[in-house]
Amino acid sequence: MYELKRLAIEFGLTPKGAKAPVVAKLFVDIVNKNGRIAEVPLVSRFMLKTNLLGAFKMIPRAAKMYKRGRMPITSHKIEGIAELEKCAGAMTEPMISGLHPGSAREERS
Amino acid sequence: MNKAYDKSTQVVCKALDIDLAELNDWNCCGASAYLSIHEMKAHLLSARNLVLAEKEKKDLVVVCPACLTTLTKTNHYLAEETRFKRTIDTALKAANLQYRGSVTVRHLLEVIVNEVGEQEVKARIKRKLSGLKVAPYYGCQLTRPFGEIDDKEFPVILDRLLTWIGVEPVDFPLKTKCCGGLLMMTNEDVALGLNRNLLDCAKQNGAECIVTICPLCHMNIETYQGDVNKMFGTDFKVPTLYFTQLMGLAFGFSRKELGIDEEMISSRPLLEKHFEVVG
Repeated sequence: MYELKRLAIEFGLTPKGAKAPVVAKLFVDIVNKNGRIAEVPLVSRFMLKTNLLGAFKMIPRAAKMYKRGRMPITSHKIEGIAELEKCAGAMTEPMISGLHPGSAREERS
Repeated sequence: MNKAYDKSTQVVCKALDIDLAELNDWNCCGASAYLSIHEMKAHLLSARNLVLAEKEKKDLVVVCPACLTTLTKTNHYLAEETRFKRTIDTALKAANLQYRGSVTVRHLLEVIVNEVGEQEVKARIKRKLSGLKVAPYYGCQLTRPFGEIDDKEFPVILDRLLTWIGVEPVDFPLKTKCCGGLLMMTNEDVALGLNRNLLDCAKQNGAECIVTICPLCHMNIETYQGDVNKMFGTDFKVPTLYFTQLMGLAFGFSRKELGIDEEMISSRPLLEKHFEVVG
């Protein structure tokens, strides 16, 4: 099932306005940068990309969570981020035979 | 968002003489979101955590079922799939890392029930929690896909622990049904419907609160009850606690030590109704 998700995102076959690919890409961006997910940047960037009005409507809930100490504002970068990047750089991503990540983008360009 | 889970876990583990040490420089497991974009890099994230745990010669204990699932899957595939292992090993080697396959990944709930055991848990009880009816909510990832901890569809491991600390777990047929997870961001209407079903089931079966073992389940069930009520015309106000918070209460710890009162739906009236909660 995950392969279908990856193919759909790779080949731009997700329905217009689909939010799952947006959150997945943002999640990957943040983890690639810091080594850990950070909820506030994830949610705020997601809302700005998909539902700006909804972002404002979330403010009261966010404020309540912040008051209760449940909204960590800062994010943490791991020491081993370079180590992870080195490992990732040495890796290939197998997809259905004949394809590799980026091949769909290469064809389109 | 999980400070209460962290606080109560630390306190309960200390009380049970469980030597808990945070894995140094751990990274995100990637959960399901990373797998949607990069398969092998997602497993690489878990593999690095397994390497770090192996260096410290300790089992890897988690409190999040998503972490449990991704770490366990990676561990299994490394042991069983040659091509997978070769790819991960090659990647790890680039940073002079190696994983020998000696780490066991476990959820804290399973460690407490199977390793610490009933006698040791009961020996630490200082406060009676009798009379409190709770819905034991496992979520969809603790027992699936491997079913190593308990029955995949109808587990009882949390129910057992709850009876040890004196609370009454109600019959909860939806105990392993999904709360929606990240759907609360990507398809809110569907996720609210799923949570409505969970809340309704808990209430119909007489539960006064829901007990969870997953931080995302906790977030979805508790934080969005107002939205559920708005959408479905319901009137839910069900407190949601972590199993470690209830354990900590039974062990005599204060609300502050357990992160109780940090909830969006206060559990104070419920706890005061049933017993004297100190601090």
